[in-house]
Amino acid sequence: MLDKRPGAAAPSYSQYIFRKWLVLLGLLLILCAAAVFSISVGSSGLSIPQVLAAVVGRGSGQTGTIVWNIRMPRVVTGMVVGAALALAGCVMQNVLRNPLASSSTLGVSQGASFGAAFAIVCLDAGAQVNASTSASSAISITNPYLVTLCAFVGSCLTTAVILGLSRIAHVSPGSMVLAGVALSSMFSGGTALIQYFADDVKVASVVYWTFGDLGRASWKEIALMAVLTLLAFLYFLYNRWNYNAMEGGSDTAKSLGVSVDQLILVSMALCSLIAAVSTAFVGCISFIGLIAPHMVRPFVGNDHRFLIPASALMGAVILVLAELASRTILSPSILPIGALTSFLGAPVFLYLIFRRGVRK
Amino acid sequence: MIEIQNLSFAYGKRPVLKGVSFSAGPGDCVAILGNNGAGKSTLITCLNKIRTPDGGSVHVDGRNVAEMSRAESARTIAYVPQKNELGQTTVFDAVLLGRKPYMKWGPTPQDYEICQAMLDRVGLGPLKLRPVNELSGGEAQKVMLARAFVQQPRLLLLDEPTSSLDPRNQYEMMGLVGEMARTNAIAVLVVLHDLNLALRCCSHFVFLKDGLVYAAGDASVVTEQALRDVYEIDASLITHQGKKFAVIG
Repeated sequence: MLDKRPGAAAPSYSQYIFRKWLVLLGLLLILCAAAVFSISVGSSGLSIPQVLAAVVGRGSGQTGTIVWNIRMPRVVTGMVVGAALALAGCVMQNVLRNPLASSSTLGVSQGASFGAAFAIVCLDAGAQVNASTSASSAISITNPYLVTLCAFVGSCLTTAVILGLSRIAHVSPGSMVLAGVALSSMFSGGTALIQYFADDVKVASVVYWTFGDLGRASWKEIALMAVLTLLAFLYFLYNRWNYNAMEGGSDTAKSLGVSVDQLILVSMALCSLIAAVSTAFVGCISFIGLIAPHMVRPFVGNDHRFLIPASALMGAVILVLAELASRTILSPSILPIGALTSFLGAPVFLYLIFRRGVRK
Repeated sequence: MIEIQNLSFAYGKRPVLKGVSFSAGPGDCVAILGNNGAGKSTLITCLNKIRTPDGGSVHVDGRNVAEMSRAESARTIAYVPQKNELGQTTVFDAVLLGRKPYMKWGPTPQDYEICQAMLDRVGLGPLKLRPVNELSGGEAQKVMLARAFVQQPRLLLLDEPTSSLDPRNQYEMMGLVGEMARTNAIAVLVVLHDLNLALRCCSHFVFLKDGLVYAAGDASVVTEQALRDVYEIDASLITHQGKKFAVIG
């Protein structure tokens, strides 16, 4: 933090920027450490050197298989999805001028859940009991592609309504957040109705889907999510000064040469796309998009040159650690990751609010 | 040279500007005067593409603003809104935003130099790493002004820049505006509610009434009759040490 005592030697601007680079570097190192540690933890314990050797392709046959086929996909999914949700939250909070904006508070996740529930119950895409395995895998999705597709359509529907309102009815960004709240409540109600009329097994399938599971994505799906997230990240980073100008309000941004309407539209569409794809592949993982940007703001401020990459890194770190916790807390059972992020995320968020209140 | 011709704007079906025309030269500080709702802020925001006027034109140095790209108009016209929302941004980053219309990928060393020089010029050099919301009202307003000046505009638009300032800061602020306008040959349009501040600090005056220009020109257009017609108040104008003052009531 800056030294604010009167008379303290004022650090130069380049030192101040250098500190923010250090924050990014620190987050990157934490992410690498968390990922390697997470890969090493599991029923067949691996040492860190074994993991590192396997990651670069020099492991023994069995270790290589465990790392590349079982452990790494989960951890890499955690990194990509965490980064995608955090990026979406960071940019939505900026363009909607609302610190509560994120894909889960705007109804994108609820839209996805509704789509998945619709596919599982009404299109018979889920529900098959396999009694021989443990409780968490007793219910499987018979047609994961249909569920994923419907989840994606559900989340896109939410976005389309919100963006449509902003374009056609010219509602303010603040009202777009309210519209998101209304839509998320509508989709939650719709999901509940579908569950009410479905049989037990299908309800269990829906509930299992909404818990979220990082083990659902294979390398092919991870690659798709990673490419989309990377493209969105590059667009966001290219517009970092436009987002900084938006911090001064939309009139100020316009006077500084920002095409505000276009920026909001494209940013919201990209945020929704990456959040929708992530949610469709791994289920509902809430709160990360909301808290990751707030967790890094005390260190990098509202400067989007640093806030965008720092949020992405923080989101990745949180989800990798949450995934580790979900596997280890009650090992060998795996806790639902979505429930865990909400359960642990809310206290962190309360702490951030509390600390801000105390400082004022 | 700024030429505003026949500018009109309506909120839905309610016309606010009904054909506003006036002009201003480089270095002029023009006070936009009128009652609440007369369309002063609307006029200001119609000039630099924040709102798109329904009719009429704005020319800066002979070029039509409507035909400029957003970045071009941002290099030509700077704007300071009534409300500053740049809360947690540090002073230097807030001023650096003024260089945004010139940036391609990011700020250049020259951009940093221009901002540093401007901060030193307005006396905020030592505060450059403070968040704007930790400054006093006067200091925060200076930050916004510094941001507008580093845009190196030909026209500066100020919407009630002194409304939250104490008298000393009001005069200091307007003094700074006038001086920068004269030295850099920038035309300034400023919405003001304080008549005496306007009389003291501005060289030209535009009275807006019912969406039209009631009168425009130098201090000679500020008459007791004009104040009665525009503000619907009885005021007498007195001259003290060669300067005009309005005494209300």
